[in-house]
Amino acid sequence: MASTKDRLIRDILSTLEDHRRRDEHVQRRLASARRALDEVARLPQDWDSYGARAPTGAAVSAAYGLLAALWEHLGEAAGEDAVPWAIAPLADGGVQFEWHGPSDMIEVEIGPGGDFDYLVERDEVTTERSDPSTGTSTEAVIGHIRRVLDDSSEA
Amino acid sequence: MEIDDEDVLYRRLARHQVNPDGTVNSSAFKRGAVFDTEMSVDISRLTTPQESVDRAGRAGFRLGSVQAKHPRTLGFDVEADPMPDNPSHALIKGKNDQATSRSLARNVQIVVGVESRQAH
Repeated sequence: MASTKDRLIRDILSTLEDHRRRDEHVQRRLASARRALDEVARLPQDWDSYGARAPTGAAVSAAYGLLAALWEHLGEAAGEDAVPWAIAPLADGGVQFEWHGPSDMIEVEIGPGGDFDYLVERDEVTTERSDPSTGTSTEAVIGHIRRVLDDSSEA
Repeated sequence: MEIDDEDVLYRRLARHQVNPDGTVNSSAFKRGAVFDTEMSVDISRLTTPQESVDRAGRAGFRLGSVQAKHPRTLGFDVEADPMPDNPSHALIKGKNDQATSRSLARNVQIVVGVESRQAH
């Protein structure tokens, strides 16, 4: 008959194994996001067949920088939600990310010069957006992404 | 030529412009400038889905369709702009921004079973 101690050890090992699997899964998703961005970075001119510019070095660099900064900010709390739901090139040479939280979504546009704009929606209604006439810092964008990824039902 | 509100417009979609859930990404309707956007589309009654998507000239593109009334509701003009090699060509013209692009993308349906072929 298994002792209480044996059962406790089995439960702990099982929990550790669950965590290991979850971490592996998240790491695979993060690597997949990096690969998706690598792919966008390599797009040629006219990738959309309507004359789009290839993603610029400044936009791609800012995109990698934003992902790295976000994941660093989140640290061990970086779960599956930290992986962008969508990664897309923009016709002007920019790059766009989209994250979905429990209630809201945020779309972050990175312009060809590496500048940020964002828009937050709830139920398809804009609740917050950047002012294109003023710059938005990486830190500010990360703050908005974090708020969307957290339960923002009070917004 | 008049474009009716019920006229269906086609726009080619690159692989990255289709979301993981099969909806259309707003990036498909951003042309770079915040204002005075011009987006090329084809008028469906003057072409076929396959002909429209094959204008990409390479494989892997899909086709989005939207009725002209949707961009008009968002404040865009929709005007015929026939070209020598594409009489179905039209333009969606007007002021655009992140919210407007998202609203437009939400009204686009992907034409099922249509994908561009390699040009010969």
